[in-house]
Amino acid sequence: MLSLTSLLTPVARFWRFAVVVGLMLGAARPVLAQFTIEELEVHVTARPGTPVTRIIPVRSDIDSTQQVRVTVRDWMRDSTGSNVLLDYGSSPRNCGGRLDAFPLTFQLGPRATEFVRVTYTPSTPADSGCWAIVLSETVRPPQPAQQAGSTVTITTLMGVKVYAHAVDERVEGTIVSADVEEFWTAPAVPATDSILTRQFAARFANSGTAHLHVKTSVEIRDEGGRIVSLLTGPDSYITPGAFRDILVGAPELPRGRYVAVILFDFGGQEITAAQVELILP
Amino acid sequence: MSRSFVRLMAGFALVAVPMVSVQAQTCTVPQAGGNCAVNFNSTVTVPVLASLDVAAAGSLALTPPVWATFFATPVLTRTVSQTAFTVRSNSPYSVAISAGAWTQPSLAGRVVADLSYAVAPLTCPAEASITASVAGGSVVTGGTPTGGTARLLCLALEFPGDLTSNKLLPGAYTLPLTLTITAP
Repeated sequence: MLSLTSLLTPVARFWRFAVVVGLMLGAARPVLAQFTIEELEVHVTARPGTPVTRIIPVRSDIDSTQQVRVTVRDWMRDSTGSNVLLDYGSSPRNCGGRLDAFPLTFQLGPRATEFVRVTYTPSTPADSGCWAIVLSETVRPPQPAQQAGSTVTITTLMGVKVYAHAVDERVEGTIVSADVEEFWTAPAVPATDSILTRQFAARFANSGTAHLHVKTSVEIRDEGGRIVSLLTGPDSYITPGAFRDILVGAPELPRGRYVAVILFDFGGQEITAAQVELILP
Repeated sequence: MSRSFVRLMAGFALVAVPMVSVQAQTCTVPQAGGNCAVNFNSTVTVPVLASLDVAAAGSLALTPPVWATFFATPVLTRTVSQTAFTVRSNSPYSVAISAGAWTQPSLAGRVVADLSYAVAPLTCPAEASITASVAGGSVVTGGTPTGGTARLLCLALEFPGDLTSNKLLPGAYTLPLTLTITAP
């Protein structure tokens, strides 16, 4: 008995194959970003009487013209290090009328580069600095309304953080707490028992007026004082007045008593450390 | 005569100009037969480059339940949809997610908490594991420089198991999501 497939001519088979491959390639092809930002951070010093202007290049990655919208907002980091965007002027350390971005809308030609000017005009006398974020997005035409079903519309924003640093900023950090946390977690594969997991948990506060970049490491020593494990924690960025909860997973070690020294290198004169006891019964 | 003079001066200029530029450099010969080293500094500034590609930038249709089955035996159902996103950056970065409010039929009661998300490298996890709120959160915290790390943004939408729920009113439901790439 002949099947339908066997009746197809080689030419028809080729075109069917080509259509299938074409559909697969079309589905797998990534959509290019609309544009690339050539800055993610802008740093200026809030020196009285000296307005500072910085240029942010915005480069088109597509072959068609697009309309770009620029907005300025406030931002903060939560205790896990996540960025949270806020309405402009709502943060206690907002830049208010001292910060200006121009233009707020512009046309970006195919593969062209345009420039957004960010100007900071410090107050007199010197202020204690502030921070904000300049967001750029491609303005898309409104989508036709769906008749039924659920849809999400996805917008991508490119954010450039603007830091206005105080002239006499202080680099200071404080360890608020440090401890070993234990908790049960479900194993990755089905099993009857959970796994006891331990991690070093520390809260580090920025008690100065400078933005901190904190590098964390943990030295674990046995009762003889020998280092049995060296761990590296995540890099943490902390704004003045904020704190960060830093978590570093503990390694598996033989039973015994250990001392863990959690080191915080925040760019100050010295490295700050906290000591916690780790007992593995 | 005059043309020869001009030619002579032009030739002299061609020879003289490179000589003048070389005079600004220093050549050190420590001993006879040694090497002559001319050192100079050249500077190039590499800007921070960052881009965020979302395959479904614009609009993504969320997967509905199998309506015939759902209608026959309505139970709380969560469906999973996905889109890929790729970050390219030569410096550390973070990606955050936020949501606006549902545009929905009059009297409908969908809330932002009905949609949750997770980020996965290759395949989306089971719907029960997709729990983070799209209302605000970090999709990628402290990402390291990458030439193009592709990830999946997995979205789980909840459908209540009650046909009289105001979340099941007929019509179109649209939620605006925003992905923002910034420095950490």
